[in-house]
Amino acid sequence: MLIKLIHIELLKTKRSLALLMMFLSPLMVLLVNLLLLLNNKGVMIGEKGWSIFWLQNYAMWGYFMMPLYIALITALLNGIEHRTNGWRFMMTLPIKQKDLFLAKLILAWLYLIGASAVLFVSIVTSIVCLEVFGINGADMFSFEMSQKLIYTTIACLAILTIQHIISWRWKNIVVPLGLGVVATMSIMQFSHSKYWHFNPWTYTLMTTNGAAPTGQTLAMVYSLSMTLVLTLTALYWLGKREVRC
Amino acid sequence: MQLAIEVSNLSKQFDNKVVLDKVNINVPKGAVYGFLGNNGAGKSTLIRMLLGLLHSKSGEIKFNSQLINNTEIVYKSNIGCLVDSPCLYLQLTPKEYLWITCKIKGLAKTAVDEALEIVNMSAHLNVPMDTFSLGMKQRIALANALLGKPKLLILDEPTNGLDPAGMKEIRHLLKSLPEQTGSTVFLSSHLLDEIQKTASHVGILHQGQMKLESSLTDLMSQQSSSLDLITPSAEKLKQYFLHNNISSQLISPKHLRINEVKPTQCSDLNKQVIHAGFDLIESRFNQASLENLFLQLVGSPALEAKPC
Repeated sequence: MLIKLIHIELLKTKRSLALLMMFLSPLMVLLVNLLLLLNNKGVMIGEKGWSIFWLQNYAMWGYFMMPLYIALITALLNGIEHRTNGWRFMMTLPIKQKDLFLAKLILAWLYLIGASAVLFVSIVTSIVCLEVFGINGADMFSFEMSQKLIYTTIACLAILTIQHIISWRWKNIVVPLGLGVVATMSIMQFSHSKYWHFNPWTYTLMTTNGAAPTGQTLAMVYSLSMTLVLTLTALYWLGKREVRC
Repeated sequence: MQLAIEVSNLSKQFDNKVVLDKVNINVPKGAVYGFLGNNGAGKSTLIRMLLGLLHSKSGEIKFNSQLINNTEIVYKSNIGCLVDSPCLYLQLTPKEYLWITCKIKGLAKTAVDEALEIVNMSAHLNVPMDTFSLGMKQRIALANALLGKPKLLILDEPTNGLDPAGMKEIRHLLKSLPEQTGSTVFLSSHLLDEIQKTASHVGILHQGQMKLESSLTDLMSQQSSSLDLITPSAEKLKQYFLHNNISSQLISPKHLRINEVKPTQCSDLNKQVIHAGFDLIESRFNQASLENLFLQLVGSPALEAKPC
């Protein structure tokens, strides 16, 4: 049933902003970094190699664009139901609220993996093009850098779950988007503090900003644990919840 | 008698306000059950409880003799429903939208074409629904309810937004469904005339309590027609009728009612009154109707509020 529901949820996003944003969000990050690179005429690449370009893209994606993208995607996936009283429609069918919740959560994560893949492919493509145009540097493709993207995708699960719960619960799209913006702004403050563990929005930054391996592992462990606890709590709550719309 | 829906002592309250109070409903298999009630009577709440959207704390709901609890979902595979306004994903086409229900209920894709043909929407199969009128959206929602010819149809105001021709089509469809597919139809509507033309059984809910439940034939046979006569000397006319062994009822000093009158008797009665020398201001024949019965049972808030 879960696979069926993911398929259905994917269909619902047809002709919506979700697919466009999956391409647009990572491409905006790349565009900004390309402009910065061209502004200094590729001097840094010549000196430090392409790893600095990879890192810049991943860092901007991880602590700025990805949290906002997550807020937007989860708000869109749940907003489809809020706008049309779709909750009522879906719950008159032989499915459980829990399954629908999980299907939307998994789809949001798939959209995130999709956007990360778009970022990866577009960085590779831009590096190849820049090499052709004469900007050369060492480490065109780095395994370590690609690993960071996978870590980030795991580390963001906690905020994905939080945003999903908020978007499911509140009809007004301002609530999840507002939370996303405020929390994203808090990342820089918390990441330098010893209390970073308590702010799940910092976990993505911990996996991209070159923190010690223990920091990266901790961020992923915290994220997975928080995801598990939040999901189980939400599923328990949904088992008792009525559909009043 | 086999029952498709059996509701026993069902109660529901929201924030200490009792919306349903020990409601009992028995819907026979193959019936078209008209469910009536004023705004706020609790009809939609009961329908949502039947569909598992709202949970019950006391009372029982049985579908085909099977007890349903708050977490049950399997029974919904055999139910087609339309609750309140249509819930459509407007960016999708009717084909895509109906495919959702097909996929979840495990129906064949051909069910989509069949359902759209029934509601005359086959021509719009691949058009995004955001361009549709209210009536077209209602038809799509109805097609969704009819997908796979479910054993039970629960419809809340299904003719909302439809033009007169559309209403007639749907009325014929709902009436013919039990015979064609063996379905049971549970139909809630404010249009009493529609219910009278469509339903085989009727239930009336008022302020959260069932006021009446009966087959329409039995109900109408118990209801008699009457003749209202408006005359300045109603009291004298009553005495006149008494002498002629005709019982009548004085409603007001100028208003006399003769009960159990057949339409063919009206002309003779009017002639008799005039020949006897009474001034007849108005003569009104009241046909037995569901509307009259409904108003007798639940009253009309608008009429009650009007000063005499």
